[in-house]
Amino acid sequence: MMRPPGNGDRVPRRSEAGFSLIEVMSALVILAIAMTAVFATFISQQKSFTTQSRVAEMQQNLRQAVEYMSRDIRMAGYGIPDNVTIPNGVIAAGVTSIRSLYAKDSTTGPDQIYILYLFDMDDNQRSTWNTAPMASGAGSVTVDNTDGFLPTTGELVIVTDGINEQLFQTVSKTATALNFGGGTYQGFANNTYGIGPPPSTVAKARFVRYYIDNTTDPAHPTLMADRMGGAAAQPVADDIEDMQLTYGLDTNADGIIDSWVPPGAVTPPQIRQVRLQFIARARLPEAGWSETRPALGNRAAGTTPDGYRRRTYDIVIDVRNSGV
Amino acid sequence: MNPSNERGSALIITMMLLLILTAIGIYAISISTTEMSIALQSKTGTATLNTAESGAHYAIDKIPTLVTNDNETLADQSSYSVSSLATGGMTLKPGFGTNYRFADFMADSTGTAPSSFVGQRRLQAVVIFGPVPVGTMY
Repeated sequence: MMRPPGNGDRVPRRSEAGFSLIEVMSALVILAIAMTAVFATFISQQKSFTTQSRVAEMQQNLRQAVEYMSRDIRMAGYGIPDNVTIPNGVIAAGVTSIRSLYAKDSTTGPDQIYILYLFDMDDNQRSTWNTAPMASGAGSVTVDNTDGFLPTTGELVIVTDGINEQLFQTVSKTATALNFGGGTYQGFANNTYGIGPPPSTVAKARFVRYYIDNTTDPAHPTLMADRMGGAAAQPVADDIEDMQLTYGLDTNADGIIDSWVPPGAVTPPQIRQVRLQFIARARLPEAGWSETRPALGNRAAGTTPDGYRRRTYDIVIDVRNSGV
Repeated sequence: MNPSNERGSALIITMMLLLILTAIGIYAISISTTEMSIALQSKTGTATLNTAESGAHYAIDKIPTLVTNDNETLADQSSYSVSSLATGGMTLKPGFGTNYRFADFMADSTGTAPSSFVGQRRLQAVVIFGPVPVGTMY
């Protein structure tokens, strides 16, 4: 006979087994505490990892900038016997020649530098020599071969007999001739060129301007190299905030540097060393970090702190070919 | 209620977190070691370049006396080997009479890194020496 189920004879079943409210609450509290600790650790690790990656990236940018520029500064003036005439305004109004390097100073922003040297170090871009004196107004030079030159692009070329020199820009080449004219250096194409009895060196010129572009993307100032042949400037290193240059001059020709001056009107052969200083900064500002751009060279420090981490680099480079 | 089940999930969560943290840690350490290695290379390169340069200056100083495979080990155990030669060219310079020429020399210096490091830098210097009377080199 059935009787209605009573309180005392209830059979516990598995499906009814569960946690009491107290159990759930205490489990949640313990879990919350544990998870807080775990995430605090995770976030701090994550943050220091990000910082470290950005610092490494910044240091790499800085090394890149220094490697590139110090190589070019060391070579500045190589193979060039005297001042090379350039069109007025290419460097600055009133500057019509360059011997090895020419830096432009700024006390409120980064400096810039122009470097010129004869490029004959590379077997793939080798220099050649002329086979006949260059006729005045001919606009071309006959050479032994033109293997090392690009077929069409406007390359800068120096012709020198070791005493005089002239800078040209090519427009085309044949197997044994380089044709000049066109581009920024058109003014030279038909210059009287009375020098250069064969064999005079005909070689590529490396005429390069290093500057910091902080207008294209103000958040990422970039060190740029402009090859001066009319082609677009190329980025060398990202996030280089400042570049400052100082000349080490030997004013009394005794081989010892006796004065350090900011770039300006100096006699090129007196420039024996160049002090190159950079400030690189991290790609992005960092929350909780406050730093002001430090003073560098003759440029004063920044005034507003920001969240960028920075590194400075300071190197003194021998100008081996300043034309002493 | 199944106690063994709860222990398992805690273990899995802990292991996963440990795994993530370890991965981040390993990557961070690898950045550090890469940086250290770059710094070492850069130091070696600079030392070697300076050594090669000192060799070149030595040979330039000796000109017109030529040196052949002149070796020197410097204080930091880096060493250079330098040779110089007359390249035969005689450059005329403005301001000097036709009886005088400038003789072309070349100094070729190779710097080798200190013994515990690996690296070499080679440096060629073109030296125009003069003025010298035509027909001589000194």
